[in-house]
Amino acid sequence: MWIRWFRILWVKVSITEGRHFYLNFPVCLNVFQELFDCVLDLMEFACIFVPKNPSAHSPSTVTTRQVKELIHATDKLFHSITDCEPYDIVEVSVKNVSVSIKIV
Amino acid sequence: MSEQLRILEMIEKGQITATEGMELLEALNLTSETETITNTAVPIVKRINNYKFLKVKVTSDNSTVNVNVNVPLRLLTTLGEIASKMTAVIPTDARREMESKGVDITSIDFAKIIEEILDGTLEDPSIVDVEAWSEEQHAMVKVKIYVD
Repeated sequence: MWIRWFRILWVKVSITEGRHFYLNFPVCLNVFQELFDCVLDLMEFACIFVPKNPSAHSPSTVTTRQVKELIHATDKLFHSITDCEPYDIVEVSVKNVSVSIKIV
Repeated sequence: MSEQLRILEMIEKGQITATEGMELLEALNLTSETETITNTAVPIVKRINNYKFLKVKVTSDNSTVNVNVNVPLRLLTTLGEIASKMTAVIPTDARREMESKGVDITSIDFAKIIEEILDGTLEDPSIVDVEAWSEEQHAMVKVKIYVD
């Protein structure tokens, strides 16, 4: 049974200058969270085969462990966005244009 | 209680005089009073610190501009933590250049800075409250940044 609640990032754009233009774009954030979880597991596995101290001759400045940290941080960011109750992140209305981004 | 008993024992054994013992007991009472005050003050601070969002509001007199931005405070603190971690990603030559100019980026605790900024707004939740005339909008524009 699916018991994990999920949040949707809802982007609404409305332009009423001349022609009317409306855009409703829902993005399920849970998909990204799951994706990050999977990639993080893969990175964890990959880190077993990577030496702790990066080689001095390595051409790359970013190590696998740093990439793992980055993904972990992004995952944490997503969690901090979605942990609150539903709210409006951005709501902008200027003349005939209105943009709203909500977490529902 | 054990400290008071120890002082009384010291008087009994003649290690300290009765006057010294009294002074010690008074000092002990003062410490326990301070501890009680501190313990009661903590819940008050926690109650005030119960903000959830950093809000940015831009409004104009003639309603041509209306901007509302809500940023969860948890997101801000997470950003601070990430910023501290991401300093490790900065290339070594860039870091060396910064260090030569006296900037040690690894020593900056971004999470702490954000925490301090938010704690600084305990008394007054308003961080920025500006009102200015906009030539472009031909109206008074109000900018307010506060925690809620």
